[in-house]
Amino acid sequence: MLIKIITQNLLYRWGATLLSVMLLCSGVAIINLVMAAQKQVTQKMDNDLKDIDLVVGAKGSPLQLVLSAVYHVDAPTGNIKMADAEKIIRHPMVEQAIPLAYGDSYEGFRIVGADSNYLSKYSAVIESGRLFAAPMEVVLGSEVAGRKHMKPGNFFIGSHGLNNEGDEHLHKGYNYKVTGILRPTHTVLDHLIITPLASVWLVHQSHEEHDHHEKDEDDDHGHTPAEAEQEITALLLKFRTPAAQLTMPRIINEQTNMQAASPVLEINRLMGLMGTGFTALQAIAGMLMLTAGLSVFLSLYSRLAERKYELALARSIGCSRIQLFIIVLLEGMFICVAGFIAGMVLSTAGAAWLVDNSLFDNRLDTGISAMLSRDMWLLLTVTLAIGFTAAIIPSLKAYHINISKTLAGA
Amino acid sequence: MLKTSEIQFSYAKNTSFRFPAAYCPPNDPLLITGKSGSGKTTFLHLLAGLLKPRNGNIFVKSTDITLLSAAQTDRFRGKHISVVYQRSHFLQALSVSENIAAGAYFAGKKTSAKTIRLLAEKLSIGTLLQKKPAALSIGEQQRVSIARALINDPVLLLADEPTSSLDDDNCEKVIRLLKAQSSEAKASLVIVTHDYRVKQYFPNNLHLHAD
Repeated sequence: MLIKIITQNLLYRWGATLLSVMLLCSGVAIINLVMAAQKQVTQKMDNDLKDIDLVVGAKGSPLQLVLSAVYHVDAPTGNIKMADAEKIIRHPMVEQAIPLAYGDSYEGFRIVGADSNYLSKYSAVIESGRLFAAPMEVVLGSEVAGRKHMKPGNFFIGSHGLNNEGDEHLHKGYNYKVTGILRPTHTVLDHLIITPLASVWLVHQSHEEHDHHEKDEDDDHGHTPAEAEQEITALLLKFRTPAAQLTMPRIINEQTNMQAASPVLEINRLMGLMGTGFTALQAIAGMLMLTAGLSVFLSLYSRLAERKYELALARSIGCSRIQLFIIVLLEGMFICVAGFIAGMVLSTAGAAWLVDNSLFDNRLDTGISAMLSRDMWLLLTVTLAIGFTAAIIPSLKAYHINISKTLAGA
Repeated sequence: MLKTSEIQFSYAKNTSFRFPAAYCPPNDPLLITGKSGSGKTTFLHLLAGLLKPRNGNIFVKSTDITLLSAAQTDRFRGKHISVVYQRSHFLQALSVSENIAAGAYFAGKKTSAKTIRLLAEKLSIGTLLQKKPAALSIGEQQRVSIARALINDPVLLLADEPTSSLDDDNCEKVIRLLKAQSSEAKASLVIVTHDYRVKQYFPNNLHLHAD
């Protein structure tokens, strides 16, 4: 009966109830999405950073170099000569150096020329098929294979540039052959197509001496080949000693025409900027939640004035003070629980929509909904606390209602 | 059965009411009349346990309700005393039948849809059970109030100006209804009113004078 009274009351004033529920719902949904996105971005960034001490590439923006070479989200800064890179690879302070050649893509997924060290860096394991053994053979990251429905034995043609630009940029005549699919690594590898360096050189040998600024999509392909000089786009370095962190960047930046960028430094700078955005979004969501709390409070409180007769009546027919207190309190809490559930559903659906619509450049895993549950309990507690705070004063007023005076004043 | 000694009550230090002793057995309804300001409603609230007298006793059945704590009074009232107020109040969000059921629920008594329907038919509101109280006429609301008051088989049925907003026809109907239903339920009926039309129906009456 109490539950019926509560729910009927909420339905009776459905406008106010709906407003409160929707405000709470938006607040909860935004906070949840932001928290999940922030968490996933931070975690993915950390995963991808796997002991890469330094990135070496063509001169340009250091952040762009890091973003393109480590995370494969930005355009490359340009190319460097393999011969120059070799000097760094053979430097005694360097423990491991992985050369990368990239700039082509297949339907939005990047094709990266690398050696097998690149795969073992992220502990990649072949799920089906085998590793590439010859030029023009590729292995696919799990997300690429999953979304493009490709299997070992399939062929595809890469396109020049990183966007899905259409036919005129296709590297016609160069068919890549899928030889293997990688197991999910939860790193950038999942979104990449990996092939031997030689494939990239082969595809580009027709327009050799290709413009160093590969991000420039409209560059002229009609260059006449000079001497066959191999180029790469970036070099991922791991040092033997921490001291190299200090000396190597200076040596490279001052003594060569290449650039060295520290991923940790650049990413910390970036996260500082993004953090502000996340904080701002969370502040907005927080304001929404507070507004929702206020709306719950006001609707309960204003309703109290018009309800005082029926509350007094309920008391006079045997309803105890505490029952009356519970009825009003639970009305507030019901709204909050409904808002919370609606918010969770909305944010889960929103996350799925974001993943499907590739707003994050295919970078969010479809597993994002799993992230949502992490802070659910904290969020639920906060929501309930807001509901309790909003409902406690109206509830106490209901508790202390003067039956005789209210009924006599009718 | 209701039996009181002379009782005193005051809202503040300088205003005080003194009420004569009253007695009301189940089969002999008591009418309490008086001009406005004579403390009629106060007296009724004292009898219902909504107010506490400064001194004096109020026995309902064999319980002196002036000795009960606030929570005990609430429970006792729910179980044994029903009040029909001058203006009908309802749980607005609930239907008529749910409002009647609430009377039993808060009294801690069980009731059934069948009991409610039979009672409603006796009061000729059987067709209104699924409506919201706000959709009813004043006379219909009054009868719903009476149904809610009777659903618990109260020992004491109090009515505060039950006829003041009714025309002569309805006035007579309501009085007959209250008398018939209370005697059938073996409840003591006490009516407080300034409506002199009512007087002819009640041989047992008590007039309150303003001090």
